[in-house]
Amino acid sequence: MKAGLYFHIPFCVRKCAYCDFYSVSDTTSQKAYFEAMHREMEAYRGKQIPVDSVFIGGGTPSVADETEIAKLLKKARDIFDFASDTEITIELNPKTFDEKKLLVYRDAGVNRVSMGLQSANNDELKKLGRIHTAAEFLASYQLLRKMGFTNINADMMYGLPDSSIETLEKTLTFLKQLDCEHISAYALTLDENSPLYQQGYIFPDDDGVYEQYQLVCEMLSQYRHYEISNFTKDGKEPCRHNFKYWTRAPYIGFGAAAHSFFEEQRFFNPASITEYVGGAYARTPQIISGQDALFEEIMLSLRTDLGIKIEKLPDSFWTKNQKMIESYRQNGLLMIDKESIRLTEQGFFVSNAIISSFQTEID
Amino acid sequence: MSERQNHIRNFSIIAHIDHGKSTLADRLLEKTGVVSAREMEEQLLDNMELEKERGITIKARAVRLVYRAKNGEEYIYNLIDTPGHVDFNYEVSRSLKACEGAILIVDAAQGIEAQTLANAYLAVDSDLEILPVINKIDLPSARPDVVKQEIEDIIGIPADEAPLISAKNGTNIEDVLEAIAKNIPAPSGDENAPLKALIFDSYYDAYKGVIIYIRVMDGKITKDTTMKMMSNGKEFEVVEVGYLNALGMTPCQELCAGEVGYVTASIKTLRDTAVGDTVTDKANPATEPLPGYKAVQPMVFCGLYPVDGARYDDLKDALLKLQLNDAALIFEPETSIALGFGFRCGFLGLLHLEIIQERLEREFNLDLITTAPSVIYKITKTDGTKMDLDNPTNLPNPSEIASMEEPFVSATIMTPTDYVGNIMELCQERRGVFIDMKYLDETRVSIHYDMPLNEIIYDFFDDLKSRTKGYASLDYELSDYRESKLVKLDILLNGEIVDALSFIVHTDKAYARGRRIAEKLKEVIPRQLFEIPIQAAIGTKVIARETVKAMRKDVLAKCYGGDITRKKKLLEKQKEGKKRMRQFGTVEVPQEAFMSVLKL
Repeated sequence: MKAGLYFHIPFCVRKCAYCDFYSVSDTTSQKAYFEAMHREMEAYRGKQIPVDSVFIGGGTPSVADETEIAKLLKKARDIFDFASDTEITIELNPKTFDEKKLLVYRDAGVNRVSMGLQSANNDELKKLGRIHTAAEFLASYQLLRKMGFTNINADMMYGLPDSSIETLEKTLTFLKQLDCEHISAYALTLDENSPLYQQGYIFPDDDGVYEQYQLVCEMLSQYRHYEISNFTKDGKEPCRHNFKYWTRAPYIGFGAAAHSFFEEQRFFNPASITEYVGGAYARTPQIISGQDALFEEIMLSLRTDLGIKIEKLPDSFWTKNQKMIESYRQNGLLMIDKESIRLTEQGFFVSNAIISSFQTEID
Repeated sequence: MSERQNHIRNFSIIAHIDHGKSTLADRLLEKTGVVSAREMEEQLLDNMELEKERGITIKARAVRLVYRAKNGEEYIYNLIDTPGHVDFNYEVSRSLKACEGAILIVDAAQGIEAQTLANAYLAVDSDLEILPVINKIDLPSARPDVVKQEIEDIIGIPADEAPLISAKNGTNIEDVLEAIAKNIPAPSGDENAPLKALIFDSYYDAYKGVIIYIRVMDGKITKDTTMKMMSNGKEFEVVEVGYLNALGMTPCQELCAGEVGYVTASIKTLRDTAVGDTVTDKANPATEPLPGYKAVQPMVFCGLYPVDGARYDDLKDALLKLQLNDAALIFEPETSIALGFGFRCGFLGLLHLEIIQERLEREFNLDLITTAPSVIYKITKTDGTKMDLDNPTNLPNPSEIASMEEPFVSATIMTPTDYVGNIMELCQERRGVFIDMKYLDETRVSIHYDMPLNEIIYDFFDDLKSRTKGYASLDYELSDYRESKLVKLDILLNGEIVDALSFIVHTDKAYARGRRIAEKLKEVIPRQLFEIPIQAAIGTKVIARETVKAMRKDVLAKCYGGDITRKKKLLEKQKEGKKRMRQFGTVEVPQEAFMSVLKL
């Protein structure tokens, strides 16, 4: 299995109210930070690791100097063994790029762009702390198309403060008109002490969020719902990079707070630019095997529409969980055939309860 | 009477709950210098954590004080503390058997309450000298003269010279200490007669084995004695005898007739030292044991089950340990279809049940599920055979039942006259039968009802307190069994009976109870992957129905990038949480759900 590379660019114009990725708005350490990523990559030189996906995420990578991005990709090609059709995604935010920037990305090999819309309702965007309006998103989107990007993802969210079926419908209609290749639709999930809770907004309850989720599924029925929160235009490949996360394929993360799964080990860098630039790379790797690996396999595979391959499940899993699986099937939460167990769209949305109800201990 | 005995006084303090028993005990300890002010902490004798938290005394306890009286003589005072709650009357009568006298505390503001009277009668029955003491004279509402008159009129003992004290402020404590020497009789008993000592308490110590508390009636016991338990003939070499101090134990050479102290004898088996048994000397045994205690009658029964079935043996050991110094606790193994292996336990009342449950959970680190409490019903079957039923699950098919009887108690409620209406309303609601009402004085009455015990064991006391702003007091004792129209109410989850939630109820109450329980369960059972119907049924007839809606959302629909570890931790935590749930078919019921329906 070919590996994916992830580069974390932890710089943003401003942090959004809901975000809990590692990011800062001060870009003064940018140069040193990129240099540190170059150094981190050096550790893999000479290993001839085959790679077929790259994801430059953040933060907002488009806030960083585009020539740094180009240099980073050049170095990556130099060290890793890139497939000719390698998917190279960059995350952009509306209003943070122009033609010149896009040209540099394109020349560096970027062939997929992921951009955050979140909502087509400006008051919702404001509440979320986004720096753009729906119209500004559209302008940026059209610029991407004009510059020849043919594989674009738009992020959206539901379950937003003060949202309703009507506001969501507006966002979904807006998205459908864009006709983008891929859509990520996330349910807004906040930490208990999120500042958004202090604002007196009304959040839909669980049943309300489920209704919104149903509308998302319904209105995006032209898309393949291949993972809980991800949709790809029918006939188009899912995001190759993100799919590695769900299928336990290898990926190597570079930059502060970046996570890796490589040679059956999980490790991650400290969530601090200073520490990272100072040379503190991945913490003690954790080897994943046996019961732990099985639990991961189940937890991750069931997030996708491919489900888990029956052959990956030990016999003991069946004896312990058969009753449960059958009742889930009867209640429309799960499908099962000779090859795999898969969750339905309804099942996706209660997947935590389903997964945690399985007994996955290996005797 | 020997010179030694002449300077010993053995006494208890009895009172209605909250009249200041433990506080007076603390003051007596302080004034006699047994504990220094530095060592003094409140409620010193109540050394069970739970007792301090709830501000009540659960277990009897004993302590030896030395008092130099105004006449220049030095006296040994053995104070045996007693609990005040109605559930623990049994403990009180146990303590009294070891004494010659009792200090009866009456609150100067509240006057005589139901348990003041009940405890006073217990003392009278044991032929004890009663020394009335009026406490809380520092309160602005104190009316000591009225209370003195109450004591004389209601209990019928002279109260003219009763010390007027404030245990809280330490006022006139000397008067009490003097009165003890003056009024409470010295013990009698022949030091040279064969040994007869009463076991009035015992507990298990990890290092010394069982430690028994005794009152020597005749003869003496030394560390060379081979003692013999008169009930079962078991013999033990005494290892140590000694006195009980407030802060520990002091070994001594011997305990003689009239004295109170402890004995250790490397006793390993908890069951060998029944409280109430008589200890004698193997070498020179007594012929007749002391009159034992009246066998204690548990009145409330329920099943106790470990949440984790693998801890059944731990639960058994814990019950055995608690039973050692709580003769009122009885238990035997039982099985439940819903809960697996556990024990059917008998308690004095609901407070006793709660306390045992809390002690098991705290002191033995057990997670427990408690089934609905029940009383003992007497059933006559159509074939003429009779049975006692303490577990609703065992109720025979209704077609085989000719008649059922339920236990009634004779309940005495004392209250200011303002609340008579409220109380009568409450007792009627609880199927009480009015007997009479007596005026204690112009403002207070004593109301007497016969009540079904199963109406009292739930929340009667709480309800009584809330309807009388806390002023009414209650005492009750089992009176008789009466025929009654009773049915078994079953609770079904997802169509299946959960036997642990079944209970017996009067026909007239079944609908309301069934509805309340179904509603409560709907609140406490979390939403799950499927809709869960909750039904209350009598036989096949469903009388109440609620539904827990299916869970719709339980998902990590957020982007954590490649951070799988975080996702995994969240799910593992969720998985762990399920262990505190009990699985019934596909339904998961949290442990709290069982407790929450007990009090409905």
